[in-house]
Amino acid sequence: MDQTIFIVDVQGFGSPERTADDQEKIRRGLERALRKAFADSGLNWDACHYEDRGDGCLMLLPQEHRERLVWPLPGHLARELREHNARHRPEARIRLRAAIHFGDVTRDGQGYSGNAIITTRRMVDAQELKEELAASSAPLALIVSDWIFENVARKSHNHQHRDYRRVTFDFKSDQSGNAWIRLPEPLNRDDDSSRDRSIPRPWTPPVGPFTRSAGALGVVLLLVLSLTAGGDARLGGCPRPPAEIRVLVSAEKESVIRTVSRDFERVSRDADGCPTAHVRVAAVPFAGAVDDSLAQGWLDGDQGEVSAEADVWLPDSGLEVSRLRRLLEDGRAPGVSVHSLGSIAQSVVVAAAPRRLVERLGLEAGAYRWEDMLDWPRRLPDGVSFARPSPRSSSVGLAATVALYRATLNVGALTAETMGAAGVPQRLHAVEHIMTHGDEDPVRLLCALRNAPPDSELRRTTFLVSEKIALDYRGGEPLGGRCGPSSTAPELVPLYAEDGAPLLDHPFVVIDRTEPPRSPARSVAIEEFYRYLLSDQARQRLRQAGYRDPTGAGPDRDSPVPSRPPVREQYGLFDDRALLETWDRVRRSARVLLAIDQSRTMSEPFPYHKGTRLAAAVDAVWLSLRLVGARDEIGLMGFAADLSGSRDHRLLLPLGRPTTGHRRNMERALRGLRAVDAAPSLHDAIGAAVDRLRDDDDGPDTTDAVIAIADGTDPDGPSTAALADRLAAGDPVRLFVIAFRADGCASGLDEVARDSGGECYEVDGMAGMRRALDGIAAGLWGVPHS
Amino acid sequence: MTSSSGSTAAGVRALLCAIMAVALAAAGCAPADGGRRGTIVFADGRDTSQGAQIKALVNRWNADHPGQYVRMVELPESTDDHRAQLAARAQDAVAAPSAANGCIDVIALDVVRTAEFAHWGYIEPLDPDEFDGKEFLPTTLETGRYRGRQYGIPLRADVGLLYYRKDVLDAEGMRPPQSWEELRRQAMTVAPRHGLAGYVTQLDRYEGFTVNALEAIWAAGGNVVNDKGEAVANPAEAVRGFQRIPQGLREGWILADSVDYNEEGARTAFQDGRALFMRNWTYAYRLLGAQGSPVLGKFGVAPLPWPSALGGWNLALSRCSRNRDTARAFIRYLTSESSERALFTGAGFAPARRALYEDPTLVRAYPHLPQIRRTVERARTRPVTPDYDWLSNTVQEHLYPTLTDPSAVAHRMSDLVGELRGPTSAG
Repeated sequence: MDQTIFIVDVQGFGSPERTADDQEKIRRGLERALRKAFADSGLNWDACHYEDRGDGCLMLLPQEHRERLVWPLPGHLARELREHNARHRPEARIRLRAAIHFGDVTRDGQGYSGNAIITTRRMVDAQELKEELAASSAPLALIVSDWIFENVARKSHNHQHRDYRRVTFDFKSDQSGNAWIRLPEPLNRDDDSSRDRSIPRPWTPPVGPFTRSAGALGVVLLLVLSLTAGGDARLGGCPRPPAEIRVLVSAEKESVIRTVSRDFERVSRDADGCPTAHVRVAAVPFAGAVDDSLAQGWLDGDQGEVSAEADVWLPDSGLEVSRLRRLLEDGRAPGVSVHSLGSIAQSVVVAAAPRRLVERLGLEAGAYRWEDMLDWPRRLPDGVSFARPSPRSSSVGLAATVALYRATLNVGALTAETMGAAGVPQRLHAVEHIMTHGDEDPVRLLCALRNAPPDSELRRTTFLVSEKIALDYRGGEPLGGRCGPSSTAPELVPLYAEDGAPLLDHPFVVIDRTEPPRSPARSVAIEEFYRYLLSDQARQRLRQAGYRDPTGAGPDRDSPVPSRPPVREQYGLFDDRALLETWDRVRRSARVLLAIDQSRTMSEPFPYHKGTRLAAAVDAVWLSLRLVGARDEIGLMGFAADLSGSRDHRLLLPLGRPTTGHRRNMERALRGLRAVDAAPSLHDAIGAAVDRLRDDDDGPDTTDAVIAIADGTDPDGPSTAALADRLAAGDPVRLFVIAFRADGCASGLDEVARDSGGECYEVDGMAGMRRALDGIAAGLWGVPHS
Repeated sequence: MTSSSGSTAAGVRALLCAIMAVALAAAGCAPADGGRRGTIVFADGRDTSQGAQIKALVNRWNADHPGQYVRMVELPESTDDHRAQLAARAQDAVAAPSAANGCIDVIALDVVRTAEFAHWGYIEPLDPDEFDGKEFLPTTLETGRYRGRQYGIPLRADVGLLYYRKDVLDAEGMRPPQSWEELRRQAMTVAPRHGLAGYVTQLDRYEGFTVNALEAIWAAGGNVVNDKGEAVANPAEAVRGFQRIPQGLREGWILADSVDYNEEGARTAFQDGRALFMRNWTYAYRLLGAQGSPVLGKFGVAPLPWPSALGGWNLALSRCSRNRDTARAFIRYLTSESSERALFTGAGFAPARRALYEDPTLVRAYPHLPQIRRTVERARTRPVTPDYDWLSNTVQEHLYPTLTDPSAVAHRMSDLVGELRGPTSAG
């Protein structure tokens, strides 16, 4: 069927200077201007099919409107736009391109389509038209097709065809055509003698649910009712209340979801302008960190429990949903279930690294490997720090930790077995000590980075964050709500993991209850909300906020990001409970005081070793350095009867972090170590070591441990019972003993050690030594012995 | 805004509570009717200042009424979240009236919600005589009425008051201002002399903003919506009235941080001694006069130099309630004179019952009580409409951005009124 096609497009609608408020003003203003211009041109608005495209609109008009559409409508429209612009600030002003064509249009289930519409769209997007408008101060630039020009403009009686100039435009990729453009002069209302006196009725929008983009045609068919005064909500007079939807959203998405929710409320008004849905959005922290002790207490029905139910939950990742679902399956909340409708957006975990680091390590291509990352501190002498959110409180943290651990251990899946294997705890411990910048939220740290002084450690920090946050930082967006841009903010380059950046799939999760069941109106509204989130308009908002489409397209930001980086789904790659328990343990800091027996029996030879027991003990000390991570502390003590004046022990190296300097001091101390001709004083030494640890304050979550490397007996010393008392009387200190005598752990020492949370090892060779050290690592950072 | 591990537990609990059902004891199987007693559920707002008092009252009821247990549920603090919770549950209850669980029998409602909840049938009309209607100040009872029927019984009233630094005004030999002009003058001249900002109030983008905006508009004789709930035709006075706020910000005598403040923000600023004047609700009085407050003994309270908006909370009966005898008896109990006395003396809210204002012991202990009564009696109600939520949001949407741009008030107000007017406008 032949229709006159009229497409308008607001120049620069999506420009970053425009706020959502501006865009709203523009859309309203455009609608008003069109309606008024129609009225003034004697065109019947009701006879036209109108569709909002988000930043412009498509109209199909009956044939008889053709002449008046070409003239005088553009003149009246130009005047209306000029008046709008006079009343608004620059960012809310309208500069419009309009295209008129005529041709065959077909209607299918999805709306209108046809080559004629495509052609008209190409016309309105013609480069020459854009330039003509940009170069002028006019509010409106018009382009008409050759057909219109020949059959309408030329044939009119007012010779306005002389105002047109011819241009070419591409109406197919390999074909160009003619069109005619002009800048219409604003007409006064009375200029047009052919004006029809009838006033059109208030516009009622076509009724029906919005439809999604019609695929390849690219014609966006959205029915945005709020564009007209007719679609505005009214005070009172609506037949039913808007269905209430309570939404919980991750902190990162809060702002964009609020915006999209408001859009949705507007879109879902009915023909009379009555709202059919109302969305209440609240931010909630990450829910994945549910452990059993918390689960015990959550069904507390006591007075004062704040009850804030939700209908929809929008976490950053389905990993959080899995955890919650498991809890529900445990029967913790009868009658409640969750199900996911699908992904509404995508993001990935990136490593936002300082430019300097990127250059020094040659990572300009934008990719990195997890196993290499752990090596960066070694390769960069002035140090590298990392900031990674806690896996207990962040999807990003969880995803990054999974990737790191898998790369470190080179295993397929992270299970209790793979993470509890011998030698593993200390490796993960080392990883944690490289990765963690305390427990601080990287978003807060990024905020601090914006204003960090030149020598701040933050400037050498690589941040493991979501792509969205990295882009927000780069784009000067407010982080976490209140942190504004700064001109001195150092650059961070987002890097993507070579074997797949961990995927954050942003699911739309519906929370269902059986008692009471959700009202049908609310259930429908929730489904509509989900569908709206998948609409072009909502996707555009999400892309502008730094997210990718569910299909992976986007984000719409200036920063260069790979269009579709390789991503890695992490479902099934880990046991979340085991992972978090492991993380809890391996990230702990320890203060380890090594106590070396220097008594005479230590000068005896040690099997399978070229030296004495003392030499073996020294080797053990070096090996135990591998146990400790960058934030642990290690110290050294020697003991034998009367070793230091009247005392039986001597501090060789105070507790300190295993920096290069500290290691050098340790080396010096060990080199000077000799066995003395004295009896052992093991129990006293242990007691003294314990006291020393207890004297110093340690941080929270720090484990204190004494590792005594000795022959094992102390016949003249206090009894093991006395030692046990001493260990029990004060802050916990774990005792580990590496005993060289065959029965070194007998006579109660093994019990004392175990009671303190440690262990006693009888060691008769270096293999045994290594096993003992693995056991100690497990004791400190692995699953404790039962 | 992701929490550190310390507060994760609370946050997780919040989420878990959000997805779990409120498990309620079955209330019985008879249809909702009179003549039923049993367990009921009561939802209050999460108001920490009076929370302890309400809980104590509920505990006493439970001790005295075995077999009519009141299970109390606290809803979120923010009035918008509170409203959303109640509305969602009410919609479910209306759609499934025979559902055994899930009904909140007695709800505490912000006064602006009466119209919405009554209009959509979430709550039941009540006979005011059953609830001592005549004992309440008429303006407070009015807040529970919609289209001639009584739906809410006042739990407490509330009005805005002018808190001021008495020590400063006394030193200057001045009394509190009685008009906006006088407030402005004192704020501009006196406050800087004492190193204070002039005036602090709630101008963040939430209901508090709407309250302040309406008060300013009313003070100039204007309005945005008339008593019939229709948008006014000519907003010239509304423009004049409201414009004084962004002008005051520009002139610097209204503390700039006010644009980020809610009630607690403003109270903290005044309590820290940063401002000469503050507009705030009655609750602030108790906190400002508490042990350790920097302004203890230095502040006074006066009626606002313009009509205050009338605030407060009412108790209403849900349509889905089955054990209505218990529910109504509980409402009577919680709104009784002795309960109100406990709430007032415990948390300092404005009473709704006349008797408390006339009680000599109370007046002696709280000399500002008569002023509060006058303010309550003269207070103005915000527009009574089931769409109040939308109206307030629209006011905020249009006018909040003008706080930094007084010249934009005129056309923003005209847009606002145009939007409120709806499809009857010529467009």
